[in-house]
Amino acid sequence: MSAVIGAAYDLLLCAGLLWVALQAMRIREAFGAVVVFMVFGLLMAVVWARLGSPDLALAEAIIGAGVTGALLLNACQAVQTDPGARRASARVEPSPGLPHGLIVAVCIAAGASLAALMALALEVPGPTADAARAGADAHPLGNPVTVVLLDFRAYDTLMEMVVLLAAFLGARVLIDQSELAPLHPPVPADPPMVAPLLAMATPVLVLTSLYLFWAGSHAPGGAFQAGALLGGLGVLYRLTGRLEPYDHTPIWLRTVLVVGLIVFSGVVLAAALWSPWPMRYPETGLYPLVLAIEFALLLSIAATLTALFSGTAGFRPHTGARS
Amino acid sequence: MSAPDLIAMVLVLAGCTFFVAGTAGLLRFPDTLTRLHALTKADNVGLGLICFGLAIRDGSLAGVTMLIIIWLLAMFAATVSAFLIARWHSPESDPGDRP
Repeated sequence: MSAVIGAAYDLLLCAGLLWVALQAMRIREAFGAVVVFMVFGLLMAVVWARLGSPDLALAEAIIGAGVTGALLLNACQAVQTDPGARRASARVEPSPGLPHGLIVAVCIAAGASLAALMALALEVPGPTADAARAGADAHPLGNPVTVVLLDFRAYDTLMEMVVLLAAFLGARVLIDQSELAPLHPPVPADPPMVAPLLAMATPVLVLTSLYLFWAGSHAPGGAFQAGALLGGLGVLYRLTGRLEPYDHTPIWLRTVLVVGLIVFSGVVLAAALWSPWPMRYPETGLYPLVLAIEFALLLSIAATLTALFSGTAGFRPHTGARS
Repeated sequence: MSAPDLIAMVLVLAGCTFFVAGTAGLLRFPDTLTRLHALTKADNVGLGLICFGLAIRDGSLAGVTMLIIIWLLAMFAATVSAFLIARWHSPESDPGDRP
């Protein structure tokens, strides 16, 4: 009985996911499309949770739905307030390229063959998968996802941090070259309820973020989820004017933006001291090193996401005197 | 089925009813304020009933505490966002409030 209900629920979830994805593509108005995209992210998170991947569910909910949604809403606002951008978007006509039906058919065929491949790959007992599973079981860190992210495939994670930094630098270059109106003009005063919301949300979000970082080594969580959550708090502070825009990147912000990369690269290079290979943890003391890397990553991710959302070169805490 | 399970099931189903009613209101009601009115009932009472039912089924102190925290956090966020949407919508609102 419960298996039938579970299967029905999964089918409903899949149908809903496809429907929402279709709507996100079909809705012409940008704001509506972004809202539907955020709903897609939330449904996707439920799907990951159903598949038994709480790490991915957390990441999808916080980054896929939350942070990406906020950035896209930002972009909507930028396009709506910038007359040049509106003219540019009005000029874009539906391109007379391939017929839509053909594109849809190709996408469906590609998706279906990928799904079939994945289903087949599940049955193949590869030596890599077995070795990875055995290695993760014997690893001092309890969470297999963190084992892969910070040990087996640490290079990928390092490069992800480079991508994040490159994204911020790219955004800075674009901001300098464009003449966008300020995205979040200062508000003269908080509407009621905002101050109590922040007073409660701040400790809860900081605590949850630190918990996710701490839990990452043995349970679902990790630097990316924790950093994105802290970045969400930064977005709240930026929106309510508690962090004000700044026309260059202050030195403390530059430090925080790169600290993750510096600590991570430092450990990677220092490995030459105790092993013939870079990117190898010492026999003892793996846990504190991983914690240090994860904490530095957390700070950098939070700062980068807040700076990206801010849409300015930098930001600084608001003080009454400067106003 | 034991009595606690039955009570939990009734509570969760009642909570789901609130969500269905709230969604129907969101889709059918004519303007922003009445839609918000319908939605907040689903958020507050519906989620509360579901959490209550799940708490009865769970029974452990940690689980019950977490469910209560989830309910309180969701209520707080829903209250503030509903308030801000209503304020943004209402014609006499201060234009400075508008994002």
